[in-house]
Amino acid sequence: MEVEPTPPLAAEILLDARGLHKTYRGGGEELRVLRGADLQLRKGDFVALLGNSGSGKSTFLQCLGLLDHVEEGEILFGGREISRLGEGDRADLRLRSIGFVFQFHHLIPELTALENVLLPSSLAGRRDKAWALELLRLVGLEDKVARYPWQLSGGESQRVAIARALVNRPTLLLTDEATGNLDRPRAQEIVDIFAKINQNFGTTILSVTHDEGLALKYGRRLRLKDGIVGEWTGD
Amino acid sequence: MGAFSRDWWRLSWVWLVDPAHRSPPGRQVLFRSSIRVAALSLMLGVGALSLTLSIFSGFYRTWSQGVADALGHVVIDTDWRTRAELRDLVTHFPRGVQRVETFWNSQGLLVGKDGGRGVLIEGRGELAAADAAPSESTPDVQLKLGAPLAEYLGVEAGGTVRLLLPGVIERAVEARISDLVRYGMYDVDSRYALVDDASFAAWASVHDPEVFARRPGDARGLRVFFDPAVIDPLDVEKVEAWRTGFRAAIQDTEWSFETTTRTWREQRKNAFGGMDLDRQLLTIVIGLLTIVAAFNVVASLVVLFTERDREMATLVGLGLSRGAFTLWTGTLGLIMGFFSSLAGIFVGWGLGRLLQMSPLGALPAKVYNVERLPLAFVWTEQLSILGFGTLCAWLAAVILGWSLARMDILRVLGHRG
Repeated sequence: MEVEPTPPLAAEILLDARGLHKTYRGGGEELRVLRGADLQLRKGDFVALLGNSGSGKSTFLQCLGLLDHVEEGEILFGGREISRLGEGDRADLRLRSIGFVFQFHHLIPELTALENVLLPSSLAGRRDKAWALELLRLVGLEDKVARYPWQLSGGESQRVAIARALVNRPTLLLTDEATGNLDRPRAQEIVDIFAKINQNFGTTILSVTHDEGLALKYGRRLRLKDGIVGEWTGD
Repeated sequence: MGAFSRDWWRLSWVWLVDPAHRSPPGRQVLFRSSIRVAALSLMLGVGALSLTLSIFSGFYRTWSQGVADALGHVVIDTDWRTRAELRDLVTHFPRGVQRVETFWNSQGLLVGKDGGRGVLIEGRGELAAADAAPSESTPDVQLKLGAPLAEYLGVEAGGTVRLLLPGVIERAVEARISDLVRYGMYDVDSRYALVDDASFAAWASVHDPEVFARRPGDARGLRVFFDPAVIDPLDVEKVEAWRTGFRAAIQDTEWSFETTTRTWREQRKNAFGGMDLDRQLLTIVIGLLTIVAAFNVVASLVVLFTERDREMATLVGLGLSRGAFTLWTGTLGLIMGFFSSLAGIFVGWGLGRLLQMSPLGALPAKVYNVERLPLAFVWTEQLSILGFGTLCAWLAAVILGWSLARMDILRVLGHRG
């Protein structure tokens, strides 16, 4: 007797993006970046998204992170449709549930590393200095908490940005070429930190990268091509 | 933002003050300079408004006090009445009255050694004084003159003038000038001629008995002076309340004569009306200048947002909502507006004091009849200016914040082509 595989429980699905479409218009031209992109992420997933330059990886991630809007399709987050939310609700989700790390750290230069990390928790009204220090320790900067971003190296600044993205304990962390500006060893360190976060806190992580070598460190690899997300086969 | 948390204040402070130890080396000081210029601009605008209004209030208060002291805080006009009737009237006064004087007036002519002038002569007497009786002696008729009038006639205190009251007495009176007064309003001082009623009655009883027999100390009405501890005579509302109380008290009384009451403001309605109009016009003009100055605060906030647009976009990206963003910019505008306006009021006050002490504060007495520039810092007025400056800056910052909250964060952060 054949046993059918048990379908994943709905509760296990953290993010379910269905049929996302996005087109850029300008100069009389249209660029269809997303053409019905689908993606399912389960809680605790550690996923790399690969693709050529200009393939729309960042746009896709920004739409998932509610930094941009999709034209068609829906995004379910924890079972709740979020792509059509108003600006206030989108901002609240970005603040409390979805962490985002850009290629550039975008730290506030006049605030110390610790103050930068604390900022989102202050925004959320739940400032937790001990947790911020713990995160800085996790990213290996416990001895540089009082430094300003301009006193840190690029890799160190990026690590502060990661700690900042995690301070409100998001269930989903999206990273957009977070290692793009770093040399190979520093980039490896950052991905190792992501892996540690994924393992220690169970945070679901989706990282956009063009570096196939780094992508091998992830538990699952996807590819965006022609506006559609598929499994990365290594070709 | 998280309910004005510690980090919120820290970030606002850091961005407003821009302390050097927190700034990256080589960072432009454009913002720091522009915010200082903006704060200075608003401060000077508010200072100008504060100083102008306090000068206006100074003149207004000086003249009001002068007019009120000269003409009475409230005047009750009747036709000619006896002292007994007028005393009966006084029994209906609400509390707060310190002194009541009887008065009569008539067109007359004063002649001094340098010339003559037609003026409205007024006779004043204490209501409480005994009724006039024929006198056997003939004391001088005592006369108080406004200083500019005395100067015009060429007389001084202690000297004499000839007083003619056609229709009242037939012969000229040699009156002695008991005092020169200066109430600060040329309109009043240049025509101020006050006859002491008791001395005039005594003179008339000897030199013009027929006139004295006809009106032995009668008066045309009363001039009422308040006790300042109970009723501030310059407080128009309180004076009005007194008048209302008086009218209510005599409403059910059967009088054989009519009375009308006028406050000191109504006695010089045109002058004070003109002053009010001037004050309103100047307030509007300088208020507009203050609004322009307040927009300098906005200009500096624009610099703040353009110089720190990436950091702002980062905050929005992190989850700072539009409402919180607007609240934040509004609060920054409020803080800048409040402190700049407060400083402006101190500047206005300081400039005023300096002006008073400097030669510029000496006024041509022949024009104003006020020797030094009068200043009155009325706290309600100054509070209004403070509120006005703060409100302008706050409103402008809120409008700015509301529009900036709609920024395309991906474009600002350089993630959209």
